[in-house]
Amino acid sequence: MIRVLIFAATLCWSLLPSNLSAQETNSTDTEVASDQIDDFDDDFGEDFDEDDAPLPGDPLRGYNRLMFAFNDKAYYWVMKPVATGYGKVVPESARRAVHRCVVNLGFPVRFLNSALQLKLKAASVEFGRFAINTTIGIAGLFDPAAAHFGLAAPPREDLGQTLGHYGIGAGFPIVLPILGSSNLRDSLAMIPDWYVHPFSHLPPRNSTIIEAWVAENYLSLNLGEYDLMKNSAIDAYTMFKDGYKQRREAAIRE
Amino acid sequence: MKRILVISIFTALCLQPLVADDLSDVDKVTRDTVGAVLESLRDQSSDYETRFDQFKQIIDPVFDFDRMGKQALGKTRWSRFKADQKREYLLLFGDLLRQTYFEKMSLFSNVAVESLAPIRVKSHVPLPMIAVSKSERQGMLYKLYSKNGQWKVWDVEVQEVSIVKSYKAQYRQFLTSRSVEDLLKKMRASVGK
Repeated sequence: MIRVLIFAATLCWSLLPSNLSAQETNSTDTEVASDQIDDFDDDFGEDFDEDDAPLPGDPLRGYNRLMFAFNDKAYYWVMKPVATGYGKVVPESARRAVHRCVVNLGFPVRFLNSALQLKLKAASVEFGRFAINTTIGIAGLFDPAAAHFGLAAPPREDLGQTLGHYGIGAGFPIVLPILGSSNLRDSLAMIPDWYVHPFSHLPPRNSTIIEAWVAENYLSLNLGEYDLMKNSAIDAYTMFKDGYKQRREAAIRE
Repeated sequence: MKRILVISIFTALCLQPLVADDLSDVDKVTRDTVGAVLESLRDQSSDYETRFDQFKQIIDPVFDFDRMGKQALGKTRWSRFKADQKREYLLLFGDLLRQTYFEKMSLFSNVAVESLAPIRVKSHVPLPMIAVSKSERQGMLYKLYSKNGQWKVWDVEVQEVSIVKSYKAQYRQFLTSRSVEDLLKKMRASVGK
């Protein structure tokens, strides 16, 4: 009986995760030391299971690459110079206040889509933040909801995420003029979202001007980030396309 | 998005070599190191090359660039490389990531980082962190694993985008129609070699 217990205890000990880990580590270390170049660590397979899967479909690849190149030129020739000049004239604090105000105005889209996904806590926080920031925060220029009421902004929701939440696939990738990487589902979902947004109730000319201002204001707060990302890329189009895909999948999982 | 990438660096810096199974030390060491790194980054008195050398000294013991490079390439494509191409690829990949991190870090220096509890998941430890800037709180995730009794970063997610996965997508696309030598040539151009 004692032998059985000893055997069982020894077996259990040998199967402890930490013990297994130590053994694996020692083994791996030896292999790495003997041939660091040819060794290929393969124990993170759960994160990289798509190695042999076919490449994601991109039926509009020709158009997409063309539009990506157009957007790139638009950024360097128009948007970046304008944002740089704007940033020199308008103080950063003012630009951040404008950004907060614009985000506050997007409340209907976020609230509705939170509710549609039955994320009731997020919807209630959105409502509380809008009420506080629109009044005490002077039309959203400031964010007392987070600073003084403990209502930090929940993850932003939109109709693309709502459709994804209910199992609608992303469809193929699309690069939109100026707006950049997207997909079929999210591009179509932007239309209803737009009609819920307060800017859609302005005359078209005014809303276009305001949208352009909002975009330049945002860009002025994030100057250089696009340049850095692009410079670090092997294939900039694929990098931005994949980055969008990863972000949207994560946003839908939340 | 990406001011957080910057922070990522800081954070990564923080992940100084630790005794691999002592998860409780991760938070403290991370905070202490990030603070020291942020302080050093604000020192603009030295020139670019000096600061870059200091930066490399901090991150090289923490980031496992070889592993990141291999994971980014993937086992199937890795096997297409000859031995000398593998060596050059790993050198170029490390240079590319160091350069990218450094430039991002140089753009953003006034950020604070809060770390959450690390949790062991199978063979690695994701360490969630939050970068706090003037107007935003953004999440990032450091993925570490144990190597020779020390924690090593093998991937970083910034705003839900994995750097390793991002490069993997590019390599997969690139190498479907181009050669390994074309890739190395492109990488040489990217790092200025």
